[in-house]
Amino acid sequence: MRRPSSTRYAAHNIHTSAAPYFCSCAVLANFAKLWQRDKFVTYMTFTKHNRTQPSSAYNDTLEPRSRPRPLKILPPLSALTYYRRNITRTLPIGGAIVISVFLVAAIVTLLNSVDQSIATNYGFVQRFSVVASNLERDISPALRERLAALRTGKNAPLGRMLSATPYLVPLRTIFGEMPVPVYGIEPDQMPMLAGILKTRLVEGRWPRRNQAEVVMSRAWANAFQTRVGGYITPGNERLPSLPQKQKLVGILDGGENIALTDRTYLLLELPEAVQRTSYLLIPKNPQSLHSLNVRVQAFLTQPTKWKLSGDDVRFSRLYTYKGLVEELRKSLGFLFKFLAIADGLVIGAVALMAGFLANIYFEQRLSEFGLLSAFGFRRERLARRVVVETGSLVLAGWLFGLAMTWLLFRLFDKYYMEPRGLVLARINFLALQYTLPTPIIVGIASLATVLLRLYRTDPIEIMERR
Amino acid sequence: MNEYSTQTDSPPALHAENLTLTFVTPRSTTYAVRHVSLEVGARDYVGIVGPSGSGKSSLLYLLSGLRTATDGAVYINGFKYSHATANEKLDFRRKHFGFVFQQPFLIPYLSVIENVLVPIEKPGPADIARAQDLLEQLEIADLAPKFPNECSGGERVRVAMARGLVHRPDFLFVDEPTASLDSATGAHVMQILKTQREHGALLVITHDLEILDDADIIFRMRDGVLEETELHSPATER
Repeated sequence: MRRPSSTRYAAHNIHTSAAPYFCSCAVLANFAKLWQRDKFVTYMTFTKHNRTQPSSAYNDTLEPRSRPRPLKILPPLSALTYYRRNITRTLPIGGAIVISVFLVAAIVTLLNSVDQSIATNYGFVQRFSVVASNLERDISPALRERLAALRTGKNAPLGRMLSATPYLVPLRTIFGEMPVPVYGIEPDQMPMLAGILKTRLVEGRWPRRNQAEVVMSRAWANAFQTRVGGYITPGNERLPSLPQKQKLVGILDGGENIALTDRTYLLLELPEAVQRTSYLLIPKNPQSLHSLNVRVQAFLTQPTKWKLSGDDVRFSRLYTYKGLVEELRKSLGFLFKFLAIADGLVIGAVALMAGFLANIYFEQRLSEFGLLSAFGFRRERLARRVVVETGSLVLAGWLFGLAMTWLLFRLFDKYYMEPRGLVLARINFLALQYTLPTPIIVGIASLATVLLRLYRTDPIEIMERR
Repeated sequence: MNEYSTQTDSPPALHAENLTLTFVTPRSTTYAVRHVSLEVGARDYVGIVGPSGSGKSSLLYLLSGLRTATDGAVYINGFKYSHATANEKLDFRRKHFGFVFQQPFLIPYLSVIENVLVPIEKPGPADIARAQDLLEQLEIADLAPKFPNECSGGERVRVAMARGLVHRPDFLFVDEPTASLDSATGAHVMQILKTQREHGALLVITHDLEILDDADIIFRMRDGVLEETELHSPATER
């Protein structure tokens, strides 16, 4: 059947330009092609005027219509025609996929948020490392000397070493309270340290010497639900903390999160039992951080090689970002294993349901497929239609589920989490990885049941069954 | 063996030779169609009458390749259609055959005009115009945008007829076309069906002998056997 030139032009465009570049994924391209074709035919309206073969019967017997009535026609055998006209049937399968993808993506994203909360709030260790003793007030003088020596020499990795006295405050996070340090350092060192962390004072001023004053990053201030002029109450009997309130005198913004206070004040007010001295090892440049960590770790693990005794490094520990990430992965490993099992169960349940529904719907469409088979459509052609129908639905459900998760989490983050200083992760590759089995397994389950029946379909049996 | 010809001047287009269809059970063998041979010309109008269970529909299925014969063969213009591969049969059927079954089997989610266009894989404007013309001729043009559930039983049958005719098949197989129509509408749609002869042959199976008035030849079927016909229509006798 010849089409007018405009039709051929449109078809040419679809096949040569849009679809192949739309996506490398074949199913997606097919989907786009079908959509385009549908759209095209939908808006092709057929009236008496563009008929190419008017019948003599019509011309002889009927009065011309006063107003041509447009007739919208969809391609009868297109998968999208079925969807458009059977929303109530496609919604349950599509909805099940969307909900399961949302469920899995949401769980993965929440788990990622735990990871990200810790990594964000301890992000400052990406800029410097910290050496401290776990059980004693200070590290040994020998180790301190050895650390200080890392500033000298040709390839010295250490730029500066700051003595700090920290106390811990409980910070609200998505998974509950998490202790973060408030470092007591000399007030004149604060701008320099802020610069290293790529953060800057955007509101208020720096704390004064011997005053109960603190500056902190905006996210942390939000988490404490306070602002400049307000107070933070660090008291927590389970943490080595300051009993007194501290006034928030400045807000830092950008870069890594940190909280700084005057060290002299802490040495006077912090109970002796919880006083510890931490050494902030600031690398000469960002690239030196790794070699600095390697050298310090060597002191702690092989002390004799560096003329240190075992007692010199006993209870001392190096806190690095790499160590933090490894610790996180180790502690969250079980949760992700649990997630994989939950994921499998969700997918299994959805696949069973989708297969079951697909079978019911196919049963209702048996006469349609029997008729097409009787009319001479090859089984491969009918199977291709089923594959495109199912594939498009599953793909659309997956993409919609991901989009819905992204959107809802984005809104939740913007209007609830961020104002409270809580960290919520975005959808990432891990979420895609965990949700991808849903459309694949559901697609296979639906297709397997339907295709099996399709290949066993005998048109005559269907015709005679009625 | 029963061997009949339409005995018209047109060259034979469809030739069935010794067609037999049996259903074998452990206890018995039933003959649905027994040793039937016939020839149908390219523009012939052939009627097959007979009581229920006489094998009319089975013969139609064998001739159209919807069912494979236990024995015998069907040739179409010399091509041994009955022994072709499944895909060859399907392709041939799609291009050259049209069907109007006893039940209309309309696809419920397609509009009337879309149902008419179902036999055509990628309908173009000419096909749509043809479909509209057929609906006009069958006096159901106003139903074009409607759906099958909005149509009466008789209207659905007429939609199925338009669907059988839309691609101008070389052979149109029609099973009980007027069963659910009143006599006036039945006579009218038979007139439309007969326009098929402009393109190809028309094979009609029916209980109702009256609708076969203009048939070139009428066969009677009984117990799977195509009997000697005494039912040549006046048109044939002329």
